[in-house]
Amino acid sequence: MLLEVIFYAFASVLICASLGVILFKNPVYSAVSLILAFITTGLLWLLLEAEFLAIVLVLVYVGAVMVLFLFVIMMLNIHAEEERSGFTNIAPIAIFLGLVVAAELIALYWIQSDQFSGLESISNSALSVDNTLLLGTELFTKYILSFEIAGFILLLAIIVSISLTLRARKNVKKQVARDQISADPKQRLRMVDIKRGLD
Amino acid sequence: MKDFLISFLSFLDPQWINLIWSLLQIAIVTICLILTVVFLVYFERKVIGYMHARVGPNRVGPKGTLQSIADTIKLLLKEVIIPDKADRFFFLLSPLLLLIPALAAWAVIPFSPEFIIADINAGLLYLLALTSFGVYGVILAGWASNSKYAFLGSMRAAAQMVAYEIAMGFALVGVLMAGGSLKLGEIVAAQTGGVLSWFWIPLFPLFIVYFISGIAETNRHPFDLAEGEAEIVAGFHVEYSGIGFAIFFLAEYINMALISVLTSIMFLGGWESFFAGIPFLESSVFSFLTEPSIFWLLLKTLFFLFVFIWLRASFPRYRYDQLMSLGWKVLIPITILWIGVECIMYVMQIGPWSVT
Repeated sequence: MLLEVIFYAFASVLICASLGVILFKNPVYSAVSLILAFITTGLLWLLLEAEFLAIVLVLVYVGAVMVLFLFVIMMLNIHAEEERSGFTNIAPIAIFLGLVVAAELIALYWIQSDQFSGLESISNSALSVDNTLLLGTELFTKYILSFEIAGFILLLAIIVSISLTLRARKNVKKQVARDQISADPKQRLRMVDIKRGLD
Repeated sequence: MKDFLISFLSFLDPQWINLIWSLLQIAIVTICLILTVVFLVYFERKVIGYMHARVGPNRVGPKGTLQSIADTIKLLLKEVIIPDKADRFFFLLSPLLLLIPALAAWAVIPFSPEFIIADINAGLLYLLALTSFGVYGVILAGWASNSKYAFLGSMRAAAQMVAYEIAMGFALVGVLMAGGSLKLGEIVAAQTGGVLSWFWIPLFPLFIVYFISGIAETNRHPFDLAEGEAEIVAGFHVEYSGIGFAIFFLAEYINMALISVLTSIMFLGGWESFFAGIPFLESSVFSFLTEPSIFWLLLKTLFFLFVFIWLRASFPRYRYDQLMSLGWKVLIPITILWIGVECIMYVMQIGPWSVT
């Protein structure tokens, strides 16, 4: 009973936050609604006893990705009104994509109701075993190959994006810490004897 | 104490008793934290005063001990000014966005073997998620103030906190490898058996990196570019007055205490005694010194808080490019390298965790 009340409370917050993402005029408000949506999704996953996934969702998307999003939105100072003027042009595509997603979800619901009845037992077994441990062992034994491939793709993406943005500029004054530390006063300073007093 | 509660409220459902017990624990921890901050402000001003060969606060109360209470009353009574062009909602929300994660993180801190509010399975991840959350308070405060200085400060803070979080996360990976668990209680339990079995010896580089990135995470000296008063007045909280400023201040000091307590838990054995594992002491009348207790944790935490203040009194502020190159080019490679070394140590069965 209590669990259902919590679930519906979080679910309604999630729906409101997702609506906020597309309905707010100010892009910063949209981004913050998206953050709220991620957090609520994490909380819903916590209700399913998937604590690792829930916390990682918050850690990765809220802790890192959305910070950069917000950063860019604030720096660019986007005016949403101008962006929204082309909204009707892409509306057919958007409606089509929405219908596809809805169809997929409905199909998933049908499949789940007759074939995936085993899903129940997975969440129950997670009660006795540590969720993180379970995921870790599965990823590093059964699915090691796909896991490593995913890692390599991500590494490649990092390298590519860095090399795309890297521009070697000339005539840039840079601090070279090694040169500074190894500087020798003897090479830079010449001691001169000056005669003192009156001759 | 819980038994007393159960017998006293026996007419209630056990579920409700658990709820009341948790709320009581939360209240105790929160009140203690706020008192810690009150003490810490006085401690900081006094320590820096003596380091600068000054006296520090000495007017309010005996030896100036009531100074921070006077400061608090002054801040609470000040007028709260909301700038005309500011975004009102986020302007008022962002101090809380910084304070709430700072307080919520204390839920998983094991103070002693018995006292921990919530011993969750993924405690370390929870901490990492919550500490990364605080950056929103800073960014949104800077943006909502609608001021150039505040905005520059929050941009600096965002870049800095994202950069140092990575080094911090990698240091935590090392700790969880050594501890063999994401539960903070089990990480401390893995360090039982005296000073030499604490993780600061096998994980020494990670220990240093963690503490340095902790200082950078909390925007403290020498990494407090987010509020560099020489260039950008006071950074992200320049437009805040009264209670808004006080909450930023409170959150910063609670975060300092959090980093200190985490460093003690993960690298210095948490509640373990300094004298544990010395057979001579364990058999004598001083055996109470070798017992694990919350006292040791508080002592270690106080030491790290002192280090925070000590660094503030001794170092000049970093330049922005130096800060970034330290984070990305020094700290992150060190942590990655040491995780590799740790893997080798694990395979070769060197180190205190070889029993697992």
